Amino acid sequence: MFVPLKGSWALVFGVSSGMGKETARALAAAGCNIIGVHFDLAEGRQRAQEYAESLGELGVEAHFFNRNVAAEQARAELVPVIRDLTSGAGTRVVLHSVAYGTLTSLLPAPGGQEGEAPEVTPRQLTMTVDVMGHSLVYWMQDLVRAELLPRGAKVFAMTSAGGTRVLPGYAPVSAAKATLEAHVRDLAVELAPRGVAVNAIRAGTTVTPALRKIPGSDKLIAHCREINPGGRLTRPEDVAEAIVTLSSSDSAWLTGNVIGVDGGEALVV
Amino acid sequence: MADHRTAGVDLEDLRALLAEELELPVEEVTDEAHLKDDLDVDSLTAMEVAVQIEKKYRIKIDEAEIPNLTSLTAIHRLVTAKVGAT
Repeated sequence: MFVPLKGSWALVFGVSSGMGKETARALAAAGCNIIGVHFDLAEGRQRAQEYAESLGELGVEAHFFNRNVAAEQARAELVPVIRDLTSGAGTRVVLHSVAYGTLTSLLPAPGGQEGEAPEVTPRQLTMTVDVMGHSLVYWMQDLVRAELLPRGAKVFAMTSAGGTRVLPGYAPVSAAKATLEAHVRDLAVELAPRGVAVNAIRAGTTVTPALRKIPGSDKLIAHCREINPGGRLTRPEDVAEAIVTLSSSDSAWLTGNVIGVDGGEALVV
Repeated sequence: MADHRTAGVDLEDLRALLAEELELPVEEVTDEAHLKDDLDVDSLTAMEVAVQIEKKYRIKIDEAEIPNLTSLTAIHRLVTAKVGAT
């Protein structure tokens, strides 16, 4: 059954950029209050605060916090804040849209010289999988423990084609996305008795600040623009629309999936 | 508390901030210890250090400057220049 989002709360990780930013706007437009987490230096932080104010002008509450989503301290600080802001009701929507990792290769370049994508270090690999993958689990643990994930809540995690396929210079993030998709399946099963749905959203190639950081992204953009059967690239608005639509149902039966939001891009070669 | 605009940037204050962010004993954060090579700091931790420094000294650090945060001495030089410029 359709249940309006008006007056409910969404928790958005990665709210200052790309899909997280656009989805926060679409949720706010539907009347959903936003608790946003982002991690930016002063300039980005100022832009994020201005963005939060612009969401407030849509008639909802929007509170942004500049914290490292993967830090234990951030959860310790923010979980009580989430409880207070939502008056204990918890979050109806949680979106994990975190892009922070090392973009490089697994192996050294042939001949041993340091190329554009040198071999990944243990620390880089661990950090990337922790931030973009495991952080979802730790937040779910704390939200469940605090009873801030009510029946009917929807959890979304942004994955990419790189979760199952190979892109040059993307290997550590590929590992993180594959991990994230595994966590989505397990969380879906563990949260099913509580009536909470968990899904991964696999957006098509979308021009976001995070995509531009991937080595060779220009080539990828040109290729996907050509092959996408919908005749264009995916836009952040497409992802936002899908998340708002899926969040507007009280059913928890659609759960544990990787949902493509790509105009059919992943189906064609 | 010292006024950083007139008193300059206290090296020991900065060392303490770094030690706290890196979760290391203060004595390990020597002037020249290399953050990445000696103290095992990754880019995310470097980002945490930068955010804390921005907050404490009310300065702006550009993303492109993060790789320059290589040691306490280098950070002190950068922060001093920025605090002096405001």
